[in-house]
Amino acid sequence: MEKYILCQEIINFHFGELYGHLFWKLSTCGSCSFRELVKISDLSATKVKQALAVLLQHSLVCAYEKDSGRVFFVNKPWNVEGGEEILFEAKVEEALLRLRFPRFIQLSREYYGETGEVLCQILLERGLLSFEDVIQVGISQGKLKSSAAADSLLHRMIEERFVSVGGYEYRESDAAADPFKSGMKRKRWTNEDDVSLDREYDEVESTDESRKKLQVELYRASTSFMNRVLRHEAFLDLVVHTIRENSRMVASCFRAILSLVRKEDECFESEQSVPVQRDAVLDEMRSQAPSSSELVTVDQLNEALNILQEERCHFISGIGASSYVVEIRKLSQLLKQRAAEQLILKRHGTSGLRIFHLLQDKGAVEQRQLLELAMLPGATARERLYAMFRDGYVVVNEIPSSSDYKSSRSFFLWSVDMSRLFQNMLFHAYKATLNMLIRLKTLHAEFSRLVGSNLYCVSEDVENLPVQQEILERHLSTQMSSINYNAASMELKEQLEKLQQRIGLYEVSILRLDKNIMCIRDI
Amino acid sequence: MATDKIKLEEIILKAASVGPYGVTDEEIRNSLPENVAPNDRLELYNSLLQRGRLQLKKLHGKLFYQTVEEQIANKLQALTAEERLVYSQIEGAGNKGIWTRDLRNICRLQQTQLTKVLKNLELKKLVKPFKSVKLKNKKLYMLYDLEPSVDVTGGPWYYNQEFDAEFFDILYQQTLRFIRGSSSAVTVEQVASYITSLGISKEKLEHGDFESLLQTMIYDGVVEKLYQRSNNGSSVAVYRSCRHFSPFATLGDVPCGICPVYKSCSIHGVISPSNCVYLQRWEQSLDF
Repeated sequence: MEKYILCQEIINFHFGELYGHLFWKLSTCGSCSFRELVKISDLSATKVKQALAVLLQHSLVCAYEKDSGRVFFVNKPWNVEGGEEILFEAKVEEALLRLRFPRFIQLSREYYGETGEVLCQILLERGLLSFEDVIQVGISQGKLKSSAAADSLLHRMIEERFVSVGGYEYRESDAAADPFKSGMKRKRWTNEDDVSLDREYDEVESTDESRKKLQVELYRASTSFMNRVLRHEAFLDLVVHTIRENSRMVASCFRAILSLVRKEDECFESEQSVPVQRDAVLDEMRSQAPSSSELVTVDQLNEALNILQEERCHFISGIGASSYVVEIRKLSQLLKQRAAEQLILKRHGTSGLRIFHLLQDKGAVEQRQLLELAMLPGATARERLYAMFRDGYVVVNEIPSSSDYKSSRSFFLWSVDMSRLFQNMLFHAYKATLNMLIRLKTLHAEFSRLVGSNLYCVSEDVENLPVQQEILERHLSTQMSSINYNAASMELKEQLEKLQQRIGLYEVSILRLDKNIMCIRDI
Repeated sequence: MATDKIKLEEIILKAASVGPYGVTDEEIRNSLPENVAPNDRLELYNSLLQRGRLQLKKLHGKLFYQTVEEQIANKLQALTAEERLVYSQIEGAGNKGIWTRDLRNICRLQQTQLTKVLKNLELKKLVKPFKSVKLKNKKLYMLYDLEPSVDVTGGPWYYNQEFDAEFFDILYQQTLRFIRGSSSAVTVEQVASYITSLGISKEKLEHGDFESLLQTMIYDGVVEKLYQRSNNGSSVAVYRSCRHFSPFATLGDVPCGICPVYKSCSIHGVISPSNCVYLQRWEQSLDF
């Protein structure tokens, strides 16, 4: 339940209460048709249409035909010809992914510089845009200086899969000029990332020859690819923090291997990556080296590969004489394990961590044996054990020794169930993130109250304001910069400054918690 | 003749005092002069057995003769049949001791009778009671002069049947300091020699004790175990300090991660993030 409440709060935060309410209804009630949605949400059809249009554009809701299951994203699917019943379903995972948007933007900056950052931000903010519209928006907002440079960079981002095709739009030739309206007039398209579906599009021919429709590709930031990049960064971080011998060369070697497997490494469930050749790794390392004076030799590469293959770490495995695969399952498990250990250390101290490791090592043990092996005073060990049991980190199984199942004659064996532990941690992380969001909202409200104007509350009368503009106005940073502090008293300035610092603290905490969620769920 | 008999008895007692289980008849025969006839030898055995100076045991189908101290023999002479029976069972249990309930079952004595017998044996300083660290409610008995085994006492980490946390902690900290101060990984022997040189422990610590100490440090995540090739080609276990850090383990860095009542927290509940005192304190503690 925490997951759905968190998703609702994220949608509330990014779009508004109306959209959050609709998303909540869809996520808790399952797939609904438009009529059912209007009924259960207690909203007018107009508002439901408006909210659905925005949620569809940002891939937070998907629409599909009830009978065939064919998925299509339509801004106004209730107008589609054919009369098939269309069902709407909330995409909870996409909603949770919105927490990661700042990291995606930062990633784009690292790979493509400021221009790439701007392009990524525009695409994340607006969901789907055509190629020209992306550039147009950037130029009109004053964030892009040169449209030619932005054009070539966007092409590069598409080639390198940071940006992907999200669908198609059929525009009349006079509709191409308005960037705000263009994103709203999609007819039907399918998501390229859904490999199980065939790309479909219809060529709609207008009867009026002078208003012929053009098929325009719509692009979106490829969050799945960027997630993959972040996942690889997590693996690299793990290797850097684990290996102490020759760490710089080892990190460089591992980074090269990961960049080679990135394009093919689509399945998160696989145990190993696709194999890479040693020569390819060497070439990649040399291309990544900052200067030619730091050329990597074959001996250095071999040493790094041997360290990575060591039994203690076993981050990669050799196949044949010169191929290597990354042990993805092992790396994921190790990352989760480290996250679990850190949490147990913080919540239950060294004694709790000791008991946890002991149970992992020994399997199922009786309490008496555990207290002996833990090298702790009996009372302390017992207290920690039961505290961890309450948190769901350890489990106890009753093994009856007599047929009457009398508990006085039963054995109680304590053990660690890792999958249950990770699940508990994930729910805990959702709850912590939700609390941070709620607190952030409280601070925002406090900020607005102090400033004296209702900066953050968006009017329900949305017809007077374009929807996308209204959503963009919700970014507080834009509003903060336009506040005139000169008129404020010293006391008010201090309070506002403190509030801004606290707001920043919670924003950073949400990002850090998302890292934890990613570590447990998306790795 | 009497003096010859005494001398021969002394030879037998001396020969039978070696080894933990005594000696066989053949070994005694070899230590006696050749002119001692088998009958004479038997007579000597019987005389010593009657006086309680020699004890007869059967082990692996063979008979063994073991010397009994004169003082103890004199005490045993004065024992009744039940006391002798109980004593022999306690002696058989060795340094692990025997439970009173087991004694009662084996000797088939009533509880009051057994209690009386045990009390007499304690007064004569032939047996002593003690408690095991594993089963604190059970009273065990063993011979007076024996030292209880490690299984029963718990080893050097236990004092008065309780875990000596202070002693363990001191050794733990010193070992950790030694490992962290070393430029390379250390072996168990190096740790043992360092701790022994400090003179912290009055009793001698075994190799296994240091291994269990290091294993505890591995469980705590402060030390890791590696295997290195030694000069003779075999792999040796070495230990070095470590710190398992992950930049993705961030849940414990926020108050909600370590909150004891996070399960009771809800948006509109009595405990909610809007009015949480832990969050407020956290904000104040991080105020710039």
